[in-house]
Order: sequence, then C-alpha cells, then structure tokens
Amino acid sequence: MKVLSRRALLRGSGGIAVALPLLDAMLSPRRARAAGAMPKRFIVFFSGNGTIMQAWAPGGTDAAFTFSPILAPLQNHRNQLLIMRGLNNEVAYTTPGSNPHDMGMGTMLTGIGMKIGPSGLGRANHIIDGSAGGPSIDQVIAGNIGKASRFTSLSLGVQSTSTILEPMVTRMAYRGSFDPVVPQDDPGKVFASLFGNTMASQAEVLSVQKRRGTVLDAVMTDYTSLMSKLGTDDRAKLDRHVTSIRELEKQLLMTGTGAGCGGITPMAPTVSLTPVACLQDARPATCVGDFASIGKAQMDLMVLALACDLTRVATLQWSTAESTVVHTEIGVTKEHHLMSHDDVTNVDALTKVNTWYAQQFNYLLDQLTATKGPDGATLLDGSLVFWVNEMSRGTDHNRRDLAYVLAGGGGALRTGRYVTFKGDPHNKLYTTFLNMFGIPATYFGDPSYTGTLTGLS
Amino acid sequence: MRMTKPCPDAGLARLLAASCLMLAAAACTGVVGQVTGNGPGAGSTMGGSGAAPTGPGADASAPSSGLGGGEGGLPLPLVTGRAPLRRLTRVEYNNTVRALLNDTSNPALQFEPDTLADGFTNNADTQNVGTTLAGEYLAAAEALSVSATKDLPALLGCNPVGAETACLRSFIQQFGQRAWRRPLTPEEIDRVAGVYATGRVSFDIPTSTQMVLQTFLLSPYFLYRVELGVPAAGATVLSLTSWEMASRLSYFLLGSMPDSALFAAAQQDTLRTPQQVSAQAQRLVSAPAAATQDRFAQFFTEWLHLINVDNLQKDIVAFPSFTPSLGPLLRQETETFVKRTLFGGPGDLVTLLTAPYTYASPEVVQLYGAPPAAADGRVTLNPKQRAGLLTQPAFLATFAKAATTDPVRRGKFIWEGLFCGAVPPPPANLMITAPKIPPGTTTRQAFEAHRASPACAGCHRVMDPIGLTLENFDALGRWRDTENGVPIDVSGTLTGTDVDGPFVGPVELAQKLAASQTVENCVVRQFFRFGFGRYDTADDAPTTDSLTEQFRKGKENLVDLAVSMTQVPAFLQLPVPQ
Repeated sequence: MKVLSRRALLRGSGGIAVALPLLDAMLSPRRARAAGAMPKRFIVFFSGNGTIMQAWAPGGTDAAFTFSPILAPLQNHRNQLLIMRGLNNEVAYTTPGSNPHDMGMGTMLTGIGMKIGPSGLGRANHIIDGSAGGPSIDQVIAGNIGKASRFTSLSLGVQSTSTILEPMVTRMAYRGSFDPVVPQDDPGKVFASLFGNTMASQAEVLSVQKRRGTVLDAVMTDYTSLMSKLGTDDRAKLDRHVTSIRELEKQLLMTGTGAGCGGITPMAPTVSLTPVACLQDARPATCVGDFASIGKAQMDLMVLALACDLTRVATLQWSTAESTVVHTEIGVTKEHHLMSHDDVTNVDALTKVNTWYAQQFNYLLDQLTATKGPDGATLLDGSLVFWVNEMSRGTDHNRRDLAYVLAGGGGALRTGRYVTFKGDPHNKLYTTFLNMFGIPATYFGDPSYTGTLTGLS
Repeated sequence: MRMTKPCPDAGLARLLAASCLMLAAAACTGVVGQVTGNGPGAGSTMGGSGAAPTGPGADASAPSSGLGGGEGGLPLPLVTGRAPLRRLTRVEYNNTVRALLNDTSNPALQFEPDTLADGFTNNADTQNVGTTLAGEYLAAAEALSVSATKDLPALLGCNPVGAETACLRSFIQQFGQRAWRRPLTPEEIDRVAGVYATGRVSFDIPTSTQMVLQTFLLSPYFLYRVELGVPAAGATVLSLTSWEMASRLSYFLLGSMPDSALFAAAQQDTLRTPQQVSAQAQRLVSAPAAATQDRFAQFFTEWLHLINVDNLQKDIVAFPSFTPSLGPLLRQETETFVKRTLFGGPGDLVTLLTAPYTYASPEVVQLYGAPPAAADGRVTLNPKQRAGLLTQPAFLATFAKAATTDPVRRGKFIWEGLFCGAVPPPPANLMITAPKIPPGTTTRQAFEAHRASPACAGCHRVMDPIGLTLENFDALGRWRDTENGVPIDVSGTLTGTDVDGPFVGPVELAQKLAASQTVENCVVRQFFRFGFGRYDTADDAPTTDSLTEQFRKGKENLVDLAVSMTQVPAFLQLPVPQ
C-alpha cells in the first residue's frame, strides 16, 4: 500500500490548509509528530569513505520502501527509521582546502568552509594545521541541551586516532574554529571518566574534589593573567584550553549519575587496546586493539552514559575519513580507503564493509531500544540518531547525494520512511535539527544556505 | 571535467596506495614542477591556480641570488617571523618531567598523540588542548605528584616538620623556578603557598605538597613555552629574556627543560647577545648529551615519516620470517646511523645521503645480507647497492605496502620531502585504479602503462621515475635483482630539478640528491620547521636561504646548521604580540 504524504494532500488541494480526516493511508507506521514533541538526546554515528549507492538505496519510496542489501540489518527498527538521500554537502566543494576527504570531513557536521592554517597544504594536499570553520552541529546542540549534564557531550572513537593521517580527516566535531573535539578511543578511559567518581566512596570523592577544586582555581589564575599579555592567536589558543579545563571541572565536580542508569550496573569494559598484529595492505595507522570489539564496548558505554543521564549528546567516530581499516573480521583483506577508490573491482567487499557498519548501527539501535531512559521511555524514543559519512561515493569522492539514516527523533520525526531530496544543501538538515531541539535558527554553518527541510516531521 | 576513465587499468584487482595514484592531466600537466611555496601560498598554488611555474631548480638558485651570493641583488633582510605559543610535545613533556622530577614513567605516552604536520610532532599551529588532553594533563600531574612526594625531605630539601611554612615557601620558590623555567614573582609564590595552606586545612603535608606540584604542572608556564620578551616601547620586535632564551635553546637542542649550565646563564642574564647564545648552542652540540643526540635523531625520524616504523607490519605470506620486533630495530638503525654520523662522524648531509655503511643490529645485518658489524659497530654495505638514509630498510619498508613495493609513494616522498616539490591534487572525479602486475612482469612494466595514460602522466612522469629506481629493494628493504623472474630495470631520470638527467639505480639516485642544491635548501627548510615548531612562510625565505648558504659553505654539516639557526632573527627575537 502506498502511503500518501499529508503534505502532498495539502499541496494537492491547492495549498489551502484544511482540516483533513486522518486516513489510514496517510499514517506512516509511526504516528505523526505530536504537538511539542522534541528529542532529548542527539547521537552521531560516523563511518567513512562513502557507500555503494546501488546497494544502499532502498527500493520504493516513503513508507512503502523496501530494505536494500546494506541497510537490511536495520529491518527490526523499520518504524523508527528515516532514511534519506539526495542532500548535498555543497560547502564541501567550495571550502578552502584541496584534499576531498578533508573537504568532506571538515565540513560534514559544520556546514561551513574550512580554514587553512599558516602552514598551508601538505601531503596529498591535506590541510596541515587548519581547522573546520565553525562549530559542528553536535556541539551546538550540546551547548544548548548539554549544559546541565556532567558531560556536555561525549565523544567516542574506534581507532580514530591515526598517527599518520592529517587532522582534518581524523576529527569531525568542533567546539569552534581551531577547537576540535578529539574522540576518546580507549573504552577503559571512557569508563573511568564516566564512573570513576561513582565507584569511589563518598568521602574519597569529596576529598578529591576539594583538592582538584583548589588546584584548578589557582591554575586558572595563571591562564587568565597570562592571556592578557598575549597576541590574538595565542590568547585564543589558551582560551580554548581554559574552556577545556572548565568542562573538565564540571565533569569532575558534579557527582553521581543522577539517574537509575536504566537499571544497568556500570561495569568496566574488558576490551584491550594493546597492539595487535593486523594483517594490512600498507595500513598506515597504528593498529591497536580489535576494531569490532572496541566499537561494541564504546557503544555500550555510550548507551550507559545516556541511560545514566550523564550526557545528552554523544558521537561515535569509527576510524576516520579516508579510513584505512582492514575489515578482517568480515574476511575483507584490503584496506577500506584503498578499495573505495575503485568501487567496480571492489563492489562486493565495499558492500560488505558498509553492511557491517549497518550491523553496528543496528546494535546501537538495539541497545537504545532495550534501555529505558530517566523518563521511563526507551532511549531511542527520546533520541535523534544520525548516521553520517563524509561522502556518498569514495571512487569519485562525491560529497553530493549523501546517504543518511536518521532514527528515533522523540516524536519530532515522521519515521518509518525513505525520502529523497533533490540536492538541498545539508545545512538545511542541521537547521531542522536545531529547530527540533527548540533552538531558534534560520541557518546553520554557511549563512548563504538558509531554511529548513520540509517533510521530515 | 568529469573523469571516470580509470588510470589506466579499470577493473584490475591490484590497487596501489590511492593517495599516490590520483593525478590526472587536468591537475598535473605543467604544474608539477612547482615548488611547495613557503606557507599559505602553497595553498594557492594547488590545483594549478596560477603560482609562478618555477621548478625546484629555480628555487635552489634563490639563495645565491637573494643573499650575498654576489650574483646581483642586495641581500633581503632576514625577518623575525611568527613565534606562535608552543606547547610541550609528548616527547618534550616526558623529557621535562624526567629532568624536573627524576620521573621515568613517561606519562605523556598516555596523552592523545601530537598532531602531525607533514611528519613533525611539534607544529605549534596544530596544538590545541581539548577536554580529553586537559584531563590527561590532570591525571599525569596527579600521578607525578604522588610519586614525587614518596620521599618528601628529598623533594623539599628541608624538613617541613617544625618549620613548615618556611620550608614550603623555599621549596615553592626553588622548584617553581625550575618548573616554570623562570623565577616566580612574589605574588606567584604567595598564590602557590596559598594552595598549600588551603590544602593543609584538610590534608596532611604530603597531600598538600602534591597539590603544590599539581599547581605547577598544570600551569601554562609549565605546559607551554611562554615567551613574552623584554618590553621595549615602540618596538616591532622584542629580545628574549635570558630565561626565555635558555628554554629556546634547551627545547631546540635537548628537547627538554634547560640544563644546569643554561639555568646558570639565565640567572646571570648572559643569554642576551648572539655570541652568548651561540656559545651555549656550541656547548650543547660539542659534548652532546644523549638528549641532544636524540633530538637530532628525532628530526630525521619525523622528517622521513618514520614515526610509525615501530609498528611495522608486513604480509606474513610474502615475508614468512617477518616479526613485529623488526620495526623498532629498523628505527634504531636509522637513529644510530644519524647519531654516529653527526656526532663523532663526518656530520654532513652528503654522508647521510650516500654512506655505504650503517650501524645495525644482527637481525638487520641479516636483512642486508652484509658481513657482521666491526668492533665499533659499523656494518660495511655493498657500495653498489646501498647509499645512505634512503636505502635503509626503515625508509624502504615504511614507504612500501605489506607485500609489495610502492614506487609511487617512494618517489612522491622524495619529491616532496627532499626536493620540497609539490604534487598537485587529483581531479576530484578521477576514478583511480592501479596497475596490476601480471606474472612474468615487473612493477615497472605495470607502471609504464600507467605513465602512458595522459590522465596520469602529468605527475607520474616526475614521481615514478624516482620511485622506480628503488625497485631493487623489496617491501622490507632487502636487495633483489629480479622480480617475478624478470630482471629489474632501475634506470630513471629526474626532471624539473637542478640535477636533471638520466641515472641508474638507488646509488646514483642518492648521488644526485647529494649533489642537488634544491635538496640542500629543502633539508634546511625541513630543519627550520622542526627547530621553530612551525612551517616556514614566504617571509622566512631569506632566512632559510641564508642558512642554506652557510650550510653549503660549512660543508653541509647539520650540527653546525643547528648552531647557525640560533643566530638568525627568528631565533634571537620575538614579534610584538598582535
């Protein structure tokens, strides 16, 4: 049965808004947005190097879509999904810079042109010491909904730190220009920062907090007095350091989990980060730990942190843009980026890799569904989850016709659908996100791309 | 232009490193000869957007025409340039706490890695402290302070029991001066003493002392190399205080805080003239501490992108004898070779680029197929096969794939890293497929087709002929005469350089590089980037040109180059904060 969009009906009736009876055919599997419905949490899930569009794109349209091979693992969450293609990252073509992975990743979540640093461009024309041009959507949302949380946002990575790749491709989140948010790759460290102070006794916690508070207060005096003596750039650099210390203070000084953690008892992850021998085709990054099991541990920690209401905004960055991971866990023997440059020869392996990422996304959705948030609803219900990639196709580095998956949405999204756009800038999606979170905005990132997307709610 | 025609063999299975195979005529033809401009200008030269199409050879002539070469034109003034605030790198942090607290735990290994800027870990413009690193600094400061207070009287230098306030105040003054690498102001002493006093309300002496140490270690005066200069009204550049100069010298040449002689000189305010600075630099490199030798070796590991050779992985089918323990030995070989050449050896660039000997462990000697090391550790290599750094396995195995060689990456690195030449970006829509190497052929034969494609030839005619002359070395750096049973042809040619022309094999390549003035200038620029913690910009060209000239006159001695580098305005002065 074809599902009619309510908007199409309105248009069809000459644009005159009339009260229409709700027909069964108009109902997507999930009910239309309830008045005032708003997501409470924002989650970004990143995988890189583009996809295989013919294996990714669902069949059919809107609520009548059929799952594609790559997205098939998400079938159980059909009613919670809004699959979309056809948005363009136009900024990724006009931005300063030259390397297409830089251009894709450096604008992916910011929607604004990058800044080339004093050093210009280096190896393969990667930006050496530049930055994204502004804050990323996750950080802007976090700045609004995350202030009261112990962690304004939680940034997790899975082998996202490459000691060879350049900065633009290894980071996606920015508090602002020249202020990247570096993902934490070590689940053990994530756990320690999330729960370290809830594991200790109350007396111990108070003692540590008292000491740290005293020390950091004194240190802060050094920073502020020094900043007044420096030039603009150096002052800005220290200002970003100070912001980090303030955030750290909040993390350290706020106590408790503030919520029942969805009934889960926090347990330290057992995954190891010790170097492993990973057979690789000239994989340049240090190969540390098992990719899949680190990823699972990070997703578990993310769900736990959300369940405990320690944070409202979380990102998970699998590897990097230009990911050089060799996905040996699914029998793929060549590194991902290398393969993505020829999606004819490697179509099967690349489909496998992207399907594997869909399985990981599905695991995250499973956990978010199985876990109750502080309000008693499932975590997924109150979360807006966004699966994003720095490009749509690796072979030609296409940053248009992007392949996005949204899930959840807290009633603000009309899910259970597959929608296609005709080249709207992806900035509009982020402006829509902001509005969904109750943040007034008419544009996000590059001011020349104003407006929101219609048809999402 | 939408290029979907593959380059050149669509659908073939074997891919090469894509970053090296993405060049097409549109982006490459006619512009590949461009030198990487100093600084941001480099950005504007990319994509053929119209920078002067000078080849590296033209760049090499700049030093003599620009500065005192007597070939016309007055010397350009050397400028002070930028001096962005530098943060301690991981290596510098570890070295510093080792010197300051005698702590050998290397806590910075737990920090997020330094961002690499073309191989270098210390580019100030890449250094940002996010929440993660701020937390790692806190954790390190806490751990260091706990270790340091285990023997409290030894740390404090006085017995706090009975004369607690005086003891702590004197400790704060003395330790603070070393931790912040300058004397503390009375207000600063009061403030740190205040931390101690606040601590003592609730905590014991060791715990309160830990809080003092944490205050020092988390301060910007410890984590950064703060340089405010000597105030001077109306000046556009400032001179550095002797304390600041002590740190400039020590972090440049020791990778650590000032040693006792530098601190003494700072105390006496005798680091104010170029001669005083030169004398200290000379002292540090003449009887070089292990730290100085490590610092020079670090330059080479970073410049040559060898930082990950410790984690070298190879295909165990192609290399059944390979074990992960080899990587650190390869790094050790290159570092030892550099140190022995620079300190107590000839010290010059030509030797580094052409020496038919090395200093290697038995495992690496075996890889060379060379006779065992002599009593002094020297391993004599076949002079028809080996010549210097670029024929060492650390470089050859890093710039190779798991099972096979990677002539494009080897050639590209030599072009970019030694000639400071630029390779323009690939056209965005080019579909890249690497040549397949069928049985009974060689890598070179596959690449001939590659260069025959007009889409690829623009850049690959420059890079490939360099990289292919190293085909005698397999992916582990071992010598081979044949590949797939076919004799390997290692003839090549250089174009767009000051040493253009045909040559055969790795040894002749090394000789070409050693004879090139462009390479000479490029090495100076790379050393500048490492020494100043930033990229060189167009403003710095007179400085790097002048240094190149001194380098050439000084028989290309790299240790002398380091001393010369302390004598330029960029080292002796600071710009006024803007």
